Amino acid sequence: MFREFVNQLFFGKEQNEKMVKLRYMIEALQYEFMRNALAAGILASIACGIVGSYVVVKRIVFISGGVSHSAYGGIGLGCLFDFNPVLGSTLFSLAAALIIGVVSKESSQREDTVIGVIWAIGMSLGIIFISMSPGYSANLFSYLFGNILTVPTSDIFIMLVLDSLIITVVFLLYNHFLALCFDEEFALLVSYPQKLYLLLLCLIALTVVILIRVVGVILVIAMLTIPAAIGAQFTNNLKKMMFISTILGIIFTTVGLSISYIFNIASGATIILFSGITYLISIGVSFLWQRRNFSCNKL
Amino acid sequence: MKKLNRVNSEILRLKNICVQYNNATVLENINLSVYKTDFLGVIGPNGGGKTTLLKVMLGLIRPTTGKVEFLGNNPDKKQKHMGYVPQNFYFDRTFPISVRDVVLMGRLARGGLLKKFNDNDKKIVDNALEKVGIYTIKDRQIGQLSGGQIQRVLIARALATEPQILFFDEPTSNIDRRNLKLICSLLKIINKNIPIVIVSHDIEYISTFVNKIACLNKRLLNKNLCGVNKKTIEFAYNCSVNL
Ligand SMILES: Nc1ncnc2c1ncn2[C@@H]1O[C@H](COP(=O)(O)OP(=O)(O)OP(=O)(O)O)[C@@H](O)[C@H]1O
Ligand SMILES: [Mg+2]
Repeated sequence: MFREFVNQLFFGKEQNEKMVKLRYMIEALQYEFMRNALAAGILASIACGIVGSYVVVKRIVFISGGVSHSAYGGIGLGCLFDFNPVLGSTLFSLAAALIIGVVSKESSQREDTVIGVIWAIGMSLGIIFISMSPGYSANLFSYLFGNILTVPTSDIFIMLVLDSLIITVVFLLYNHFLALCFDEEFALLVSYPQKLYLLLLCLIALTVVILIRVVGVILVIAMLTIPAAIGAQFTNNLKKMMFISTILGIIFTTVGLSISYIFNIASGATIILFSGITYLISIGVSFLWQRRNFSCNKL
Repeated sequence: MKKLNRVNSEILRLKNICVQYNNATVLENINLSVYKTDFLGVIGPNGGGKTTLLKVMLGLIRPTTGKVEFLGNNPDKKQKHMGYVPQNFYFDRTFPISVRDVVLMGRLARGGLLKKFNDNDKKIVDNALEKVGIYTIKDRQIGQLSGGQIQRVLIARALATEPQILFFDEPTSNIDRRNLKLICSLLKIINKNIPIVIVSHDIEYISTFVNKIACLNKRLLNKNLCGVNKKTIEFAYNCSVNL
């Protein structure tokens, strides 16, 4: 019932038969499919646990939104000229990160205005490129909303490389990144915050590339911020926060993936919905926890 | 002879510094040298350019014209050897970081980009925390501290950089009497080895321990720094003072 409804909603009635066949194909391939999906979820969780923690503590969620939406331009370019959209999205999100970083610091423009403009330009380019390329509708949805169930092995390999890159950079520069995030003025005296800030934005861009496969352009910021935001409630240490949010990310993607597979609903949205609800619950729990501690102290 | 040379050595020199913000002149033609034994107090009215002057010395603001020399170089290259306690410290009170980790940041001045903190760094940091009297709260999250405690964290962080010159911008405005005494005697000890530049409005108070005073109101009102008298100060502030 539900499946038919979704099929009709997204693909129209005449494509229904194709979809059914596709489903059989998928079920035949199930094993490798599920393995890739699980791997993609774990790899994405590592990236967003680490980089998402920086995004949350440095309060640059909006920048991440700009970067991820601009990546859509690269996806469009990939569809149009028939190369891997992952490559296109990497180029576009890196470019967007650097433009936002340089323009907002060097010119007297307000940062959020610059972000908004880059966001819109990237998105528009994507829409135009995709509308120019043949047979676009299927791609449109999988990149906008993600589809963890269709991640090819080659993309898993790319994600693995990007993850290793992120882990290496953060491991080496952890202390300098911490100084940059906490106090930029002091960092000017003991570190190189302008350059490191651009590097951090590039790491965000790479994380966005990884996450697009899983939750899509539009939901990337949710995946970046929710696990880190929950982690932040339970620790006062950035390293621990990264660790907790990675674990949470793995739980969210795995559970979300299972739910979406069983009920055959959109995977990206399921993962995010599950994480979002957990976030709300965690706020409630930590609120009650603080109240309890407070009344204990009083007694 | 050698010792004398070191005692008198010039650490920092400002040459004809002018600073403008959007065409409004904030500092005009400042010439000033800081020597190794100096404990220089900078006074002047609100908006007189004291914070700006400090930031120029630190290399955080590039002057419109003029030159800063720190140990004979441009401060951009040597600024890692400067300690700074800012006047206004805006930070995120929810930031997940402990007091000790904030002070550890000072140690980034010693070591390259790949710096990892070792036992020596931690010893220096604990020592700095002890000196300003906040060792007992070293594991607290930074947002849970009071204004005066945070100022002391910033002082500890500046000390942890093991600087060759120290800058304080109103470091004592939030600090209670007892800890003020502690910090003042600390500064006197530090001043045996490095010069200190301190901005304060509390003229009566700083005149008890600084050995030079600069009156700043856009221009430097006393060119030779020492020999501060009531008249210059009253001229700088445009009101009467008791010394
Ligand atoms: N970022 C800025 N942009 C434009 N003007 C500025 C800026 N910062 C300071 N000013 C101006 O420069 C002048 C000097 O400011 P500064 O902060 O150096 O004063 P101050 O002597 O430290 O004052 P206070 O005693 O209030 O701390 C002021 O008139 C101020 O309006
Ligand atoms: Mg000031």
